[in-house]
Amino acid sequence: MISCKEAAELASQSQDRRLSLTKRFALRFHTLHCKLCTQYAQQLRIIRGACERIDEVGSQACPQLPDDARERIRQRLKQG
Amino acid sequence: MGRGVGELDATTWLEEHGDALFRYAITRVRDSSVAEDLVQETLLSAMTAVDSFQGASSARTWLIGILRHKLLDYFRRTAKEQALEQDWANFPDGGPQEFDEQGRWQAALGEWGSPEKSLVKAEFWKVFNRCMDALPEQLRTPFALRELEGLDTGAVIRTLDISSKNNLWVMLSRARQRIRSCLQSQWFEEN
Repeated sequence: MISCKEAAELASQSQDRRLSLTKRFALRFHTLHCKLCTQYAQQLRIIRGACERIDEVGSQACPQLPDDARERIRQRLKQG
Repeated sequence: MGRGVGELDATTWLEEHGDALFRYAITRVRDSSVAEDLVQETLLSAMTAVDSFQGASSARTWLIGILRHKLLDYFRRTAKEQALEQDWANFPDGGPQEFDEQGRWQAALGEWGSPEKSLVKAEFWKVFNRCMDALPEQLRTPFALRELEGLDTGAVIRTLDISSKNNLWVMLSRARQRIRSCLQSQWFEEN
């Protein structure tokens, strides 16, 4: 059986590519027996879900374009 | 002196969409002055490309589209300047030591409950941004391109000139591991 460290690596890779059948099976078999790695894979999916929504709901935590920058850009745009 | 149509539109765009463009940029580059420059470049390009905007999409969607090109150019440029991957190759793995010598988790991971509740809170996103800031740039950039810009791995590799898919997978895995660990300790443990 692969280690948790390897399983965590594969759980991450599975978000970037289609794993080979062998690797998919190794990961599946490991997580069947391992609560922590199941949890890790879930949390990676939560992180991805959060990233997908960052522009929609995350911007409330972002600063606005600072006033001095806005003014600088306005002047620059006037020059064409 | 008369005001050109382009000029008029560009300053209107700045008023109406400046904040949205800035937020989109800073979310990905995590640097205010870089984000400001990207907003300016975007609007300057928009002025000269006004013909390509025919109202098919909203002005904001069109401007964000231009900004996304500018962002990729920026990442491409900085990757070249900093030789991102060479830095990466020598990068000491100062990340959280989560596994023991046999590759087993050293500690429990913690329950995240229902994350939906977190996602609507501004505080959560402040923590998320702090966790992004805490990532070394060598990990943050590929992570931002993959997860925030939604590029596929091939496009990330080409943009940052990373030598192999294998390297990118390792970088992404380490980035996710750190973000997870940071969200765990900074947010989920306390909420």
